[in-house]
Amino acid sequence: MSHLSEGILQALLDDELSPADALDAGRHLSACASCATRFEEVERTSATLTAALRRLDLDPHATRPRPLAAPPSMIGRNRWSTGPLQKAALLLLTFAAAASATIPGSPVRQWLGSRIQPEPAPVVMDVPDTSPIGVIATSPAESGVSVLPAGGELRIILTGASPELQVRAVLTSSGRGGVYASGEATAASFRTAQGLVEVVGAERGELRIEIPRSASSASVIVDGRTYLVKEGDRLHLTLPTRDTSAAEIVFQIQS
Amino acid sequence: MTAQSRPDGGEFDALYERLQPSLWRYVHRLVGDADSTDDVVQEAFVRLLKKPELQGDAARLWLFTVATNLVRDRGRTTARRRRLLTAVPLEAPSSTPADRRLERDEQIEAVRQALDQLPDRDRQLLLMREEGFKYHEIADAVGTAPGSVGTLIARAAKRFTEVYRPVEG
Repeated sequence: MSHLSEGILQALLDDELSPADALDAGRHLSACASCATRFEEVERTSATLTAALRRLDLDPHATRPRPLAAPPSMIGRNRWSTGPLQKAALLLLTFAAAASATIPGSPVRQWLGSRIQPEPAPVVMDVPDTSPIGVIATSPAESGVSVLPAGGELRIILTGASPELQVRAVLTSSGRGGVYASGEATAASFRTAQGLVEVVGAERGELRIEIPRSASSASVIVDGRTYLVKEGDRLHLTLPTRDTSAAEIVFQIQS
Repeated sequence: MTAQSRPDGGEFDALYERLQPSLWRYVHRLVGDADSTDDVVQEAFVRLLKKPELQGDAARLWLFTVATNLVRDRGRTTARRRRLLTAVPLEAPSSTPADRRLERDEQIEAVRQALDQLPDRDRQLLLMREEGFKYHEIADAVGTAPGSVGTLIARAAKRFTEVYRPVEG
């Protein structure tokens, strides 16, 4: 039996394999302890890297006050829908503005500079709804990811969560499951694979977990402990101190 | 869409709003200081104004590639600036206690030192992956075959962890 290459293991982790190749790799991992160990190492390396890079975003010099109000677009809305002379004038202005923006101290540069602000939100990508995995921003104050269940199964794994994190789990009629962060939880990292969302470092704030009613099974696992499972049309909280079953459940992480 | 039909201001603004946070974070992670990041991100967007044919994901990949090249072009200046900033740290604009600020600065510096030990291509591979680019996009950006990106990322990540000495917090 030939072992999986490091490139294949990395691609599997990054969800870059075709469904057929991912299935083959998964079968191999379940039968090959050596490759399974190497895959865990790839996962650990990736988690270390992600956590390290996030530290760079904590640089206080990277935090600037946001502008009070954005000026009208300097690019000129609908500039191509005007007459020829206006088009020419607007074209000239546009390129003059562009050129001006390259001059230190120019008003255009200052305006552009005022708009260039860091935000802690994860990458925002447009993905078709048929994509197995999507990374989306639902609002400026909320971000998250969504996935399709794999074989009817959805797993949500929270790693490094703290008791200051509040989790709201709800059943949804959508076919996609998802995890959406708000407040300080937007600083968390999201990892996805088919039927799986992993959230790393959500220490405070709130996470909203959406679980499709159509999923045959779903679970929320926090630092290795199963907190919640889907049973039929209800969510069941499995914490030792609480035993609740409902369509929507709010809980906090136990220390 | 033709070369003459550059998106109107609203569309460009939307593109800017969508791409700017990710590009800013990417460039900041590369160069390490906010002023240089501002300059690079601003220049990349100004150049995008002159590329009406670029839309959506193509515009995103182009922006990141241009920004990476700008960072490389400014390499020596930026590295020198960062060393100076490190030598004379600015007062953090927050009420964070001094010991926590020091600890945070040490953590940041540990990551920077590790990144600085990697070849340019490794840094680009790892940071683009962190921003959610797909392998075929990363392959385009670094000039390699999509089939080799997984291997390159795995090796780059391993090299990073071999030289990264995290500061315990």
